[in-house]
Amino acid sequence: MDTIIVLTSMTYATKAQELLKKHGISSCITRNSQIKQIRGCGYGLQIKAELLPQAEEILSENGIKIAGKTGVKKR
Amino acid sequence: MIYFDHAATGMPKSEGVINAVASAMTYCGNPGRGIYETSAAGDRALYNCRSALGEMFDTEPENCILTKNTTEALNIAIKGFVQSYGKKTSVITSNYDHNSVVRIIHSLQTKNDISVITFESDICDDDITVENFKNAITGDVSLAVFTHASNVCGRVFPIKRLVKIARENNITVITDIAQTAGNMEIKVGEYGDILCLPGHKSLYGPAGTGAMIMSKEFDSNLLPLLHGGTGILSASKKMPNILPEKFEAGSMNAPGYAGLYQAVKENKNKNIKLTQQIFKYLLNELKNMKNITVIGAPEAGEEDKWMPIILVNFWGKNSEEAAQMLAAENFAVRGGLHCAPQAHKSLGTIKTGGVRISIGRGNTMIHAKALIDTLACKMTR
Repeated sequence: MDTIIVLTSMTYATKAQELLKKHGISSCITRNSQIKQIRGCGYGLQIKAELLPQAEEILSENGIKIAGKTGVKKR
Repeated sequence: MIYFDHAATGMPKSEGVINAVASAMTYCGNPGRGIYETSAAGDRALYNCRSALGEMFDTEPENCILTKNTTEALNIAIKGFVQSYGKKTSVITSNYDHNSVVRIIHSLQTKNDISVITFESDICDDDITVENFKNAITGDVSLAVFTHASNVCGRVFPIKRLVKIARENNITVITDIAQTAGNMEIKVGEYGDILCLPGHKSLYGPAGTGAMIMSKEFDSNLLPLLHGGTGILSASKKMPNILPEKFEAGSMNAPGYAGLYQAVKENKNKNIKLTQQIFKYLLNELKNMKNITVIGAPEAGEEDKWMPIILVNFWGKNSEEAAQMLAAENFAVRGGLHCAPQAHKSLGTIKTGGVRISIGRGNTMIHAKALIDTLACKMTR
């Protein structure tokens, strides 16, 4: 199960991805209809759901605002 | 052609920069338009550039706004500040500002948005410059715009001291670092709240690139200059209040910024010893030549307070004409007023202009000697 952390822009999505990578959390930048509902065009970072608390902590410590969270719809 | 016009744009660009631009033109799509491969590559090019600039000037990537040149950066910063201030305010500028500062300030003054106080920077004595700035401060000054180094004579002004005084008086500082970016270590915060710089001069990046760098502490409520698509919050008619996109409407020059990223990386290994050696040699030779006046230059031992720029005039010759004569001898120099009439007024050359010789990458002592020989044979008889 994956979760998407919604970020305010591509710049922050890339910055967040690099920060998480430094802490051993792999992620991929994504853009889908669920993110659009939250941000009206925005970017998200898809990560494993169990890593969400750790990821949130890392981003918060580095001043990166999380605009929302959403699950990944199964096809 | 022997190139002595590095203050206008740095040449030659490195093979690494040229390759980075060419390669990005192949693989970069429009940044911020999707997560498909080419758009993502465009985004990566922008992010890498911001990240490298952030590291260079000690700030975060999102505080590095990518622009097409220093002028655009200065317009965003100055106009954005004044328009967000909410009431008429006073702005302090200096007598060595380039038209990229002078004209936007004049435009805002004409519309009665600001009143302007100009203080005199002194090329001989930093203490006088600092004292003049202190004396120019009145209660309603909210913004100061400083020129780090004159593009006409190369003098580097004591910006850190001026910024310290501005801080004590709650004045926001915007600093034009067009001539110093890439030539010396500069940390935003110490040198101003906002730095405006070109990618193409002493950083040797591509033309059409520049940046507005904000300090981490600067609370940016500046209003944007441009309005348009950003790839985020598209349903809103308002520009998103998110950095850096707030100031970057429209399609971005991803290949240019890929080149600037490469240029910033290469700048870490820059060796300016030869440039300084040539600067000193030319100064010494020119000062001793007959029929040449060297203007606004350092005394021996004071060269480190100058960027490698020398302003000269030839007796009995108009500066544009002299620059043209040197072009015919295959030397690239710039005559005229260099878009900085106030600086020429202060240097006493407003009527004649001057011939600017600016030294940089690729110049050698052979070039310098060739210039002196040519001047001796053709220009000073």
